[in-house]
Amino acid sequence: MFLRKFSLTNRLITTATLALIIALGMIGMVMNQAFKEKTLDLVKERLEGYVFALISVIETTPENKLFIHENLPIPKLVQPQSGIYAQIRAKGFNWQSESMLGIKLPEVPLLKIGETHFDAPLSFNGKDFFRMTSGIAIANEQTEVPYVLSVTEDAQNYFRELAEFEETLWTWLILTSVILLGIQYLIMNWSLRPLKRLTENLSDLEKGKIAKVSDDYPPELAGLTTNLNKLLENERENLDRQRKTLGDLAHSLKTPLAIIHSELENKDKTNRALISEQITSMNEIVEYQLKRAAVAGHRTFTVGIPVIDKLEQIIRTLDKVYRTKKVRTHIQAAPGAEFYGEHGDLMELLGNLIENAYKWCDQNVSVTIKTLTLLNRKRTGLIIEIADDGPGISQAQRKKLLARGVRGDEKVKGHGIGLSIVSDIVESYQGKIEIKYHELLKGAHFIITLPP
Amino acid sequence: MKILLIEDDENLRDVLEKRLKEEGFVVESADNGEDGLYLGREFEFDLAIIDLGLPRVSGMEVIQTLRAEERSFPILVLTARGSWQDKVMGLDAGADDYLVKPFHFPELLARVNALVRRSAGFSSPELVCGYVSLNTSTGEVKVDEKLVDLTSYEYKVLEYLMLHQGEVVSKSTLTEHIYHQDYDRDSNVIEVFVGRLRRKIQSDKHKHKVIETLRGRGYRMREPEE
Repeated sequence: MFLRKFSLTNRLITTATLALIIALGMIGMVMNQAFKEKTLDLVKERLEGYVFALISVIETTPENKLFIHENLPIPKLVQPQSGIYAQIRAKGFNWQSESMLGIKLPEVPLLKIGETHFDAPLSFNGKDFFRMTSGIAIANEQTEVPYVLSVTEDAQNYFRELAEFEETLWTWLILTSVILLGIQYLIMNWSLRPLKRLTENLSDLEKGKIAKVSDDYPPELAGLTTNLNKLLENERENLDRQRKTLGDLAHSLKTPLAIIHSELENKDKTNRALISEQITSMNEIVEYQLKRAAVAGHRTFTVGIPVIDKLEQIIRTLDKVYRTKKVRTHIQAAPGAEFYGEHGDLMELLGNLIENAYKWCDQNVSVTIKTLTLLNRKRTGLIIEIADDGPGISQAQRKKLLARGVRGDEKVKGHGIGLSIVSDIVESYQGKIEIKYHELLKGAHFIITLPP
Repeated sequence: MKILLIEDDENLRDVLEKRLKEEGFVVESADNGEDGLYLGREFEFDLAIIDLGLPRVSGMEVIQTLRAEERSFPILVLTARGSWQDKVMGLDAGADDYLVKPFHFPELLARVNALVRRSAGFSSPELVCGYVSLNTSTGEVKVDEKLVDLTSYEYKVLEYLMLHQGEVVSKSTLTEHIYHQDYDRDSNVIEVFVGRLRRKIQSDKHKHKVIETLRGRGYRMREPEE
């Protein structure tokens, strides 16, 4: 659980550093090993060279004794303590190069003819050496004379060279690591800056310094910030609407309350009809405002609700309630039409409009659902058309009907409230509502457009 | 007409019961879903008024259970919220109409009358049987197009018989649907009512009677065959 809270910066730094150390460490080790092997090969080749050079100056006397030409081809064998030493061991003949003066080396092992031995390294008296030993036979007219030739090199140089190489290698590798880590840190800092900015933005948002997060984020974060802003906007709108509803409710109740109050103080005779009328009006106000407060409004994060399902439920309900009227309903719905919003809003929208159509129609009601596609929008919008073959709505009435809380016809209960709720819902989804005359059915024609 | 009223609000229940009785209905009431369901299962009703928000067993469940048990009397749903979700759910569960609270009593009465009439198969408020007609919305009874004055009980008997035209209605059924449970049931009273009713709806032009007596079984109202 601790790891979950580990900061992104620390995660990146830790993993990058670890990866770098492992990678560079392995590179260092491989290079070191390669260098070691190569250098040792060189030593071996050099010693072999000495062995061949020495073989060329060894000859036999007529008495089958070995001897070495005076002028040795290798100056280092003449120079005392030069670091290159040669030894020959044969029957009755032991020879050491002049360079071995004052140097003690282990005894030359007896090797068979044709045998070669490379000791790498050979420790003796606390010092390290490389030694190439060969069993050789020299032939003259009569016989073969066997001997063992050994060339030894002080390993000190080799180890020094190796140490120098290692030092250079690791110095550079560490330097490279530091530079790479530096670059990585810069990259990370640059990449994570938007996140840091977002955190600051959010903190400012919480403090109330800003109303929304800024919208100049890289594409990876833009989805998040845009949606966050939409969410914030939704919440603010909801809060505003609820506040407004509460205010409206309180204000609109004051008038009927005042009338009732003054009527009760009227000592002569109380007008019961007037009080009853005011109570009815208060009841309507409360009903309307309650429904209005329940409107959820446009939502950013929501699953599409299949419109046809809800439509069928409502038609089924209305067919039951208006059973005796025998209404013929003509439905045309685009397949897969979906409503992106609150389930209850869709029900109120369709329910109120279609119930009005059922109330007013003579025999026929038509419901058409189309989808609306806008460029750059993933979701589709909706166009809902509801028409009936009733008396229709006059030009003058149309505006009044859509205004909030105004009743179109006092005789048909709920007509005005229903339409006002529909208006509110449509508005909260940034849509529009139109009332027209339906050419075919010759009655009222409601067109609701809900953008995606 | 016998009505089952299930409403948990005491004030509303009392008022509705009182006013429905004044209108000549027989009312059995319950203040919770469980008792309401019991009444609905045990007795015959012509209609039920059920509130959706009930304690113990919800109104929705009461409706579903009654319908599952093939109780077919019409059901009027009362809902406080009046949202379309409630309406659709109520009607999908098996109710026939809804009324949003608060409502005016005349509105409820109109719905109740319409539902009873509709369930008997009449689409217009005017019930007709031969030369007798009865308007359930105005309460007017006409014989040969002339208005006839009936007492409230006579009217109820006639309405019940007219809604069940062609069916044999026993005296006890008639008593049950016309009188309250605690009323002294004397089948002679019914005979007296029916007798008086017959005289009042007698036609001058037609000889045949619209209400037949089936000895030992009850009464049947049907169109006279001339």
